[in-house]
Amino acid sequence: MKLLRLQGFPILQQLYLEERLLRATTHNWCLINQGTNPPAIVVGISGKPEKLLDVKAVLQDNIPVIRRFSGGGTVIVDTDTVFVTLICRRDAVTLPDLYPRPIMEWTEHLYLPAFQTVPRFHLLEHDYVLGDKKFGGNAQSIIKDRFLHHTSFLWDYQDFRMAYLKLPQRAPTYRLARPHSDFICRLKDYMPSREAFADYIVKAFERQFCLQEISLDEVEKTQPSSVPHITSTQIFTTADLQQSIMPLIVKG
Amino acid sequence: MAFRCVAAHAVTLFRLRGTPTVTTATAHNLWMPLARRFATAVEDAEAVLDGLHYAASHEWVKVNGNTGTVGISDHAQKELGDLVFVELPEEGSSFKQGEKLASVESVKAVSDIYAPISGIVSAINTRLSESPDLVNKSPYADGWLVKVEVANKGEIDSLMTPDAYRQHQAADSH
Repeated sequence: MKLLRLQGFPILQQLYLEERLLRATTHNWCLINQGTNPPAIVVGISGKPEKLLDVKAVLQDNIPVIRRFSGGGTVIVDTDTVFVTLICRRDAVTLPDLYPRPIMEWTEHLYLPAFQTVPRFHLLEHDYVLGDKKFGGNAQSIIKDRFLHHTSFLWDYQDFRMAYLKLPQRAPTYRLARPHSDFICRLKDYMPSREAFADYIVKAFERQFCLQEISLDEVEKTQPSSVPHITSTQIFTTADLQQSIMPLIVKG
Repeated sequence: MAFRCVAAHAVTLFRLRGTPTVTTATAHNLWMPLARRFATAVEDAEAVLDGLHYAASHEWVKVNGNTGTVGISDHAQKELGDLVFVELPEEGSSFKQGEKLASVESVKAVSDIYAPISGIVSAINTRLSESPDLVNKSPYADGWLVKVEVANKGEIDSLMTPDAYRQHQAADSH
């Protein structure tokens, strides 16, 4: 498995890169990106901004909104987010077939050693939680004989940024209509440092994979972006976002 | 639930006839094998429809003349979970067998759906934009995905018969 460590890599570029590594390469990959700048909102492939966000506030504060190629919900990401992505071939995992739930459960076991020092880490419905508080968002993209599983871990977060996100229509049962502040927690309250957290993850993954570190330059040389592949990641323009709330404005 | 009732009635009958009371554990031991046998039979009858051709990646196609109707199998919809979004190709787009045809989103995951047969899309199931759960509720009927003008009927020979797919599906579950 090739390990790519990034620091502050913009999330839009990260998603483009991930989609390329999933669809246009045959290797197993692990990406760890420590934070992203500027802050951005990332919705899942079917996400509708008008249903998920306070679009007026997002437009006013000029926050980029990105639609990613994987499923799942909405996250607001910034320099306090730690991104970890796994891209695997079918033969890299001991699963009879690639479906969402078995993959999710496989990742729980993969991550478990990284959270040995943290109480009550487990998978609850589709989320990694400590007790009943979520500390990261997960999403997957599954293609023939390969899959991608990416997580945005909340090392820390700013309450005012969470205010951009509406309470989702589809929420896990265990959320129990709690506001964001009662539903999520900060990983920094449980880990000594971000670097230590990244090291714990690498050590956990090394139990199942032989990790070979690679630089972004080497990735660009050996897996060039010129190889054609399906691209679904897109950024919403200001016009897109304004259009999304037009019916709501007209209704008054 | 029905099988528990059968077992409960059996227990009641035994009691009425003066035989030693059947314990809860015994009742459980009576209904569980019955439940498994009936459940398996019902699942088998519904899970794989005769008259269709199946791909190893769990899509099905029903060919009628030059038109193929495509969907995903009951096994696939169960494994994917509740679908919340279906992305279909445009009418007029062409696909080779095995190429990505569509995608479906269940909670947290997007999964690609592949063309079981080459052709040009002649119709898409527009009901799925408002009701993606039709694929879960009725994978072989109301939950169809696209219709295609079949390019090469010979490709049907490369697909699985219902019996072969049943075996493939059983192997997939282990």
